[in-house]
Amino acid sequence: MSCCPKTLLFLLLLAGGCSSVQPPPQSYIYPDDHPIPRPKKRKPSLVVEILDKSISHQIKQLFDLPRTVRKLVGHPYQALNVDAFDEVPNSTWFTNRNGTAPMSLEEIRRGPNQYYGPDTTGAWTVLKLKSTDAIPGLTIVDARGHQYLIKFDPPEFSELPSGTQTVAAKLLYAAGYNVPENYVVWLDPKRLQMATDAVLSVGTNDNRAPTSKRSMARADLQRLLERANPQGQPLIRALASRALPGIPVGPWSYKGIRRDDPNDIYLHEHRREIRGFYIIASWLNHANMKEENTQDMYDPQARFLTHYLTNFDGSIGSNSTRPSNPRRGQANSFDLKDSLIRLVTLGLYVHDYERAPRSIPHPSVGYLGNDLFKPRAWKAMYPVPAFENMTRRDAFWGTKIVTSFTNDQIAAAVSTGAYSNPAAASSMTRFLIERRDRIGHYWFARLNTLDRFKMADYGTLEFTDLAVARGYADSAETRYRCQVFAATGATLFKDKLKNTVLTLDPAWRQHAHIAVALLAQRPHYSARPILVYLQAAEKGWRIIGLRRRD
Amino acid sequence: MPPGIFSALLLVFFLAPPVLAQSTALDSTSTPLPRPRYRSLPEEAIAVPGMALYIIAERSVFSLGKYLAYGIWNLRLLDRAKALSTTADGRAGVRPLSSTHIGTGARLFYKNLFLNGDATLISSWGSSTTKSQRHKFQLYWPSGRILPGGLKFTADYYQRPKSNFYGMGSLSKLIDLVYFHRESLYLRLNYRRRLSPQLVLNAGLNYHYIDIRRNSSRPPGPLPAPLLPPGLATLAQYVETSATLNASFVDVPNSPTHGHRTLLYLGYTQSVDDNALSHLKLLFITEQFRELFYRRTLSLRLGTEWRLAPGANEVPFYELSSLGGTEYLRGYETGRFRDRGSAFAKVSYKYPIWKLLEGMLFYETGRTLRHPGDLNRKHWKSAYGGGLRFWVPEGFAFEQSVAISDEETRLHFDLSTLF
Repeated sequence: MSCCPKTLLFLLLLAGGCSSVQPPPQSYIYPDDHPIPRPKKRKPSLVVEILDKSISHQIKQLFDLPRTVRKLVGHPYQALNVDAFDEVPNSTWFTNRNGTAPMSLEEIRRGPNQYYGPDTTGAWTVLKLKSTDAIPGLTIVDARGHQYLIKFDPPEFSELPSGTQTVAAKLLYAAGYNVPENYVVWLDPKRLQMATDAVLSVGTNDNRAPTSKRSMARADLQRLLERANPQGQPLIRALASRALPGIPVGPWSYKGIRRDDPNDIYLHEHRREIRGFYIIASWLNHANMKEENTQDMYDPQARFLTHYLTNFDGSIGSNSTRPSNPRRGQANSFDLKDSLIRLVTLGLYVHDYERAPRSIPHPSVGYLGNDLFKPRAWKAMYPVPAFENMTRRDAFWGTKIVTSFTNDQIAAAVSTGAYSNPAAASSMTRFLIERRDRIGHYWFARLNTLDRFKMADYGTLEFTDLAVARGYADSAETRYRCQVFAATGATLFKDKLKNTVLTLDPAWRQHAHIAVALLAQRPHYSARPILVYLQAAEKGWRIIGLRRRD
Repeated sequence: MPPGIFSALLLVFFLAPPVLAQSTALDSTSTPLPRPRYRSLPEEAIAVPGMALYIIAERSVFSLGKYLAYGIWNLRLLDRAKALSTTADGRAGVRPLSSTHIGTGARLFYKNLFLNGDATLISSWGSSTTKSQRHKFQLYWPSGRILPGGLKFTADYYQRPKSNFYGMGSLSKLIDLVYFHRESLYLRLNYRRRLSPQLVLNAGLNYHYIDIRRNSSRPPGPLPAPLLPPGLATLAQYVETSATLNASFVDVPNSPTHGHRTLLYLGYTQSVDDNALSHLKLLFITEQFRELFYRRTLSLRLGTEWRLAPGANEVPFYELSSLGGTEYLRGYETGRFRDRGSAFAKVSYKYPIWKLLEGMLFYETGRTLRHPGDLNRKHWKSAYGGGLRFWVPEGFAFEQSVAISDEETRLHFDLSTLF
């Protein structure tokens, strides 16, 4: 009797019962690399962005009646830029990498890097020095003519920002995003030479205009090096981040479109790769989601924009210049709800992150506490409109990518952080593996995990149960409910499968297309069926699309 | 709901496929790409009233806030205003100031004026009801410029046409209110020496000229003889020597969670004219902080203040120990209770709301005393209240509180001091 409601739901959800099934999805995703005029440089304000996202945008969503109704009844707006297979095609935003085809360990370690770092055969010419940032930095040109931003670690947390930036960049690149080339380097101060027009820029943090700018003297450089290297080591560890190719035209936004980019037609809060980034960001605890940590680059030859993620020193166990803390990922930087709860309860309510221990066994990797991590409750430092729109389909897409990383791949990425203490590297690897598994266990228990549909031969449909394949469910306890419909809605076949193969009856070829509804059944699992559309081809069948449901 | 409307809603929300909007493929790079809709046109129509309301709020309130924030943060308007009101070499400048304590005014500064001392002139005017004004000139030599400690010379002129005096003791009544006019000049020399990271010693030498007259405007009629306080209607001159010891053993100076602070003040004021108004001043305050759990902190403050007049001298009423105002018994008017001595206690509980914002509840009690032997359970006055406190590490603390007593409810805002 217990399965009766589920059966009823299964039937109801098959779009209209017996009359007909929904037509196959049709979607055309426009390429976004058409030549465009060079856009103006965007200079968003951090403080306006925070006010907008934290207050203004929240109120706007409350006033949006259709959106609110859809959320209440469980039919939220779906992402716009997905194809008929509910996937994100390659674009200037995203490239399918490890999520679709496993990368080799060497590819993971290399990431976006094209070299082994700045050229060490010649001098590094200093162009610019940033003196008042939390982490002092300088811009250099190496002998190859490549420009790099050199950022030093704080002396008390050596290896923390540089290692974190490098590891996170490798993982985000493998996930499919555009990121800069980051290298851990050991800088020989003797290698530095001053450009004749070198500039000292003071107070440039947070994208604001510098409070002062003047030509730089050797003494300025000396002071910075002393600050970065108080113990006077012969080689100073630092992060070298290669300048992105093209002309920078400012950051991209987590909502709306860039109006001076005609290629940018999908509202960013409705782009799958940005909505689904929630899952990836929660994995890496990449909470610093301000627009400043993104960048649009204009290619003057091809004349289109490429969209990058930058600055990952506030992810994993790091909070830029110091270790992270239990609050990071648990609450927004200014969390109205949290604050109101405390105000009203006179402080008697204590949040979990206040109770959490703050031990940091390895300062080089920062705070790696995972006890409080709940995949759906994770929060960025500021509300992100695209994350607020994330649906289960977006979550499935993100989870698919996160769980595609094997333990070896994660260890390979962590090895690029060049940590001097192997125990620190191991603890970071364990942290990432544990978070990945929590994400997998949580989301794969709530989503239809059937994926990678393919015609094995002319009459056999094969698919993969990602939860089973990636170790989040037991194949022995799993069965697959299957129902085949004609376009008219008539049921052609109904049974439970023991494995992930369905043999198609040649007699069904008389229909223009058929829809196969599939749903895994196992303990503690609740999801909705997926519809896979097949069209009769010259020999056998062709998969023409699929419909996932929230 | 009628089935027709229900069907229409269904159509609008669930069946009208937004994907239909993205229909034709792009056939020319010169043609602008269509912007795909994330919802159908009927849904857009339903959203219009809500969006209209939002746009009104956005244009009228939020935009203003954003422009303000943009101006302050990105355009650095405050920095620019600061630069505009400062000379190019940074030596001299002017700054505005405003608070409930000192009113509204300006601060002028000039660095390295005399013997490398930094000069400041503060002029402020109080509200229209008090009509007070204060002009204070300071010359400060930080530690090491002249002496091992900091040295400060102050000339302070203060005029308040309308001050309150309710009579002596905790039993004084509101109806006994007398207004008096006060005009004074202080010349002060103060030496401050840090003995250790926790201990600071202040030594002072003051000349004090004061003119106290009864405000003739009100209440009308002669002042009853029992209420005629010593010091009224006199021109008095004093020389005062004082020493203050501050001890602070707390974890976070502006928001302690554990530790204690103590202040001890001892001063002798000698009349240098015919008035027999010499007196001794003594103030002792101690405060203990204890963290209950996760930065929820309970603190207990105890204090006593005394004015002792030797021989035939009397303590002028304006120098009496007082309760009420912005620090002790905040639910009462400033100087509401006065006498030779006072004892007070405060229990407060503070809890974090946001990183630098704290909530606060307090209960205060106190009474004035004629003699130490008067200390008993009777006639204690109390006030309670709560507020919000914004603090910056190693910087200032801003406190907004409401205090309630049996006489009135008072609102305070305060740039907090340690005591």
